[in-house]
Amino acid sequence: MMNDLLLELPLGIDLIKILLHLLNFLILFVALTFLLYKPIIKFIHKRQDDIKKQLDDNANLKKEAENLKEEYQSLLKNADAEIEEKQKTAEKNANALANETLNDAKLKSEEIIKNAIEYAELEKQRIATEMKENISDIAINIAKEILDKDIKKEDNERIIDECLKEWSENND
Amino acid sequence: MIKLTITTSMEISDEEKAKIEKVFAKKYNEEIYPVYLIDDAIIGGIIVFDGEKVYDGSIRNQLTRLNNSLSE
Repeated sequence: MMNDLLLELPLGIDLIKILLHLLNFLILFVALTFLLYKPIIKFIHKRQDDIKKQLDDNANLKKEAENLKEEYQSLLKNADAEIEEKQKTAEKNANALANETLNDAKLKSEEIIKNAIEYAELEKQRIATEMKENISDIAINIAKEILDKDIKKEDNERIIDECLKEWSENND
Repeated sequence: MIKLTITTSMEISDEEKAKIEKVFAKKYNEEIYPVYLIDDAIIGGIIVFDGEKVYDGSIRNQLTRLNNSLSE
């Protein structure tokens, strides 16, 4: 009866064939699932993981690059500040050195002037003393010359008398 | 007796010599033995030397003292 029912489907449809086709399809499906689908899915998943890992790596690298960039910018900024500071210090030192040199030169020149004045004063005194001695020498020599020529016997004896008087008084 | 060396710039009279001897005899209270010398370098006046002390009344000495006082 069942075979009769099966054989009698309209439009000439063979149910067994359909079932065989379905079974075939099922076997094919299962075979394809194990042979094709799973490996492909596995491959796709692996690929996805690889891509994700690469994206993560890229993100990390980008972050690291940005950190480095920030760090270098900070170093540059610090370097600029340090350079400016050193320039200011160098300028300050140069000014201080210039002032010190100027002061030294001023002190030295004052010292030189003071020494020159002192030397001039000493020279003046020396010349004055020398002139005094020379003048007195000349005056004495002139007096000597005059007395040598003009002293008379009477004058001489008068001088002797004055000396004798003085020595007598001292004796008393 | 004390020996006195008496130097003058020129020859002096006997009267003057007597005066000199009298003054120094009184001074030393002794007899003196004078020796007279002539030296025109003293210019004028008298120098008496008793062997230890010098009595310098020469014009040369006076001029030297004057020169020294002017030089100071």
